[in-house]
Amino acid sequence: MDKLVVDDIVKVIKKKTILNHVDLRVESGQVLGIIGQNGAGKSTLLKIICGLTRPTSGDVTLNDISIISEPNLAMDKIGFLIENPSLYPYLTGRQQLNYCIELRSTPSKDYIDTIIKMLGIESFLDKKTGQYSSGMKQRLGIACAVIHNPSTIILDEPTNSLDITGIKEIREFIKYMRYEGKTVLLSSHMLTEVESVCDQIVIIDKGVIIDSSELDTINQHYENICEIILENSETLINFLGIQYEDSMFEINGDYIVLRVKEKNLSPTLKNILSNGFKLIGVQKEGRKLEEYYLRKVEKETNV
Amino acid sequence: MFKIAKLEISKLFRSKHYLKLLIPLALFILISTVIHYFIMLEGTGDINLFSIIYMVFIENGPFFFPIIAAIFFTDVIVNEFKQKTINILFSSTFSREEIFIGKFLGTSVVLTIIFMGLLTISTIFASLVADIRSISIGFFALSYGETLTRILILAALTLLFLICVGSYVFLFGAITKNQVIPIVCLLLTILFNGIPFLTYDSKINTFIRKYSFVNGLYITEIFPTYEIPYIDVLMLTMIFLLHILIFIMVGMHVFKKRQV
Repeated sequence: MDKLVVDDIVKVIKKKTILNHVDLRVESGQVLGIIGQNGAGKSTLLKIICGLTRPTSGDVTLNDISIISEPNLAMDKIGFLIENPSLYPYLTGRQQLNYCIELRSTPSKDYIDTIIKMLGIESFLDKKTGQYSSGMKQRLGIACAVIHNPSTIILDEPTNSLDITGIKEIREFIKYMRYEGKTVLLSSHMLTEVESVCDQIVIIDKGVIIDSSELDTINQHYENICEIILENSETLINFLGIQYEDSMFEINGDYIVLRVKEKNLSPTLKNILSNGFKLIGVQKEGRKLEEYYLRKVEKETNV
Repeated sequence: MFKIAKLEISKLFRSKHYLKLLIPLALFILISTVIHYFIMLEGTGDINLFSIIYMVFIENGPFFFPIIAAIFFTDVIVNEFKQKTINILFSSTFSREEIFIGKFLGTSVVLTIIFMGLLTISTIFASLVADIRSISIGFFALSYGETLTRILILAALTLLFLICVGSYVFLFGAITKNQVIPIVCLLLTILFNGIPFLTYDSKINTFIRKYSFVNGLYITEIFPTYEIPYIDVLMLTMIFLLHILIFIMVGMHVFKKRQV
């Protein structure tokens, strides 16, 4: 099984330390989410792992093959999409895919068909990529990254410029990749996306990994927040003012949003409805990871 | 390496990028041929096959051909960085050295096809309009076969010089990731070679004139003699090949360290 090891990576650009002694070990079949603020060093780290940028010191190995010194030996096992997809505008999608296959090993026809189908790119494969929308480019970019059936996939902001359906399809695709036993490294600023597909997360701040945790562990310690949306009325505001803390509800014109922990949702709803207030809807905020992330970054800043 | 070269050739033709080479070269070669045909027709009325083709090289060889070739070669390497499609090549199982040489080879093949193709058309046209029974250099009569051999050697040497220019700008393109700087460097090299102090007969100047690749600017100077100067041709060929080798070796080294 393929194991990716990032060993003591330091990257200094113009006397500024972008990555400071970063160590990472990703086991086969794992989906690892890398999160951090803009400029934290996520993309630089991913570029180093892909062999696109050389670190100032340290090494990255995939199955004991150094990606830094022998990138071409490891490239058959790595597929990546860093930042925006790079496509030749004069090639059709199909030609672009064939070009990517020619540059690496040839996968089975079944595998190619599965990728095309899962990413929903079949309908525009015969159009030149110069005529693609940004969403189409993103999908084809992902297809090009994985078309040679790599064991490790690195995706930097894969849902950039995708609509809601596209985001959902990419999530399903990542889950499928995990099911196929592939290792996925995913960098995203959309925490809900990371939360829905990753097994483990790494938080990077100012070039340092400040936390690495299993998502299950985070889920055990943090609870989701639910939003109860109610029709605005004077009596409701008075009622909420007596029963709940002011910070828990917010008045938004015609409606009021009350935020409660998931475990308190049922008794709160019962309490509100039994007092005759009109319920508009309930939605889950899913802020576990956000809360966890903010606490970690805040703690680091205070230190 | 050959696979990369093959892919590069296919990319150059699919992208219609080759038109950037074909159109200006066609203008300079074909139009120049036709103009000289009319000039000769208006003058003495004797249409000399060798003179027509020779004039094409005299007029374009020292400046236009190298500049067109430089634009074509830099475009190929710099565009990959500009459009970030270099990421696709770097994600391949080919080493960076193979990618660099493959791209250079592919571009050189396309240049060869277009350059030799256009010259063939020009020579065919000139052969049709010229009186092939009276070809001469000065007072020396040339047979049709001898003339074609001379044209072929002249074309091959010029092509090798253009490929050498290509390797020079390919190197600068890999260093700077910029299209303008390599062309400016080439222009400076050409101008530096033409400025007056270099014409003084110092040891350095003689050495540069004799052994640098800018010798390619004076290829036509060795031809207006009756005997084909095989030693000079061999010497120039060696100089060009050596320079190509040096530029490509340095370029490969730079390209290997290139970061995205």
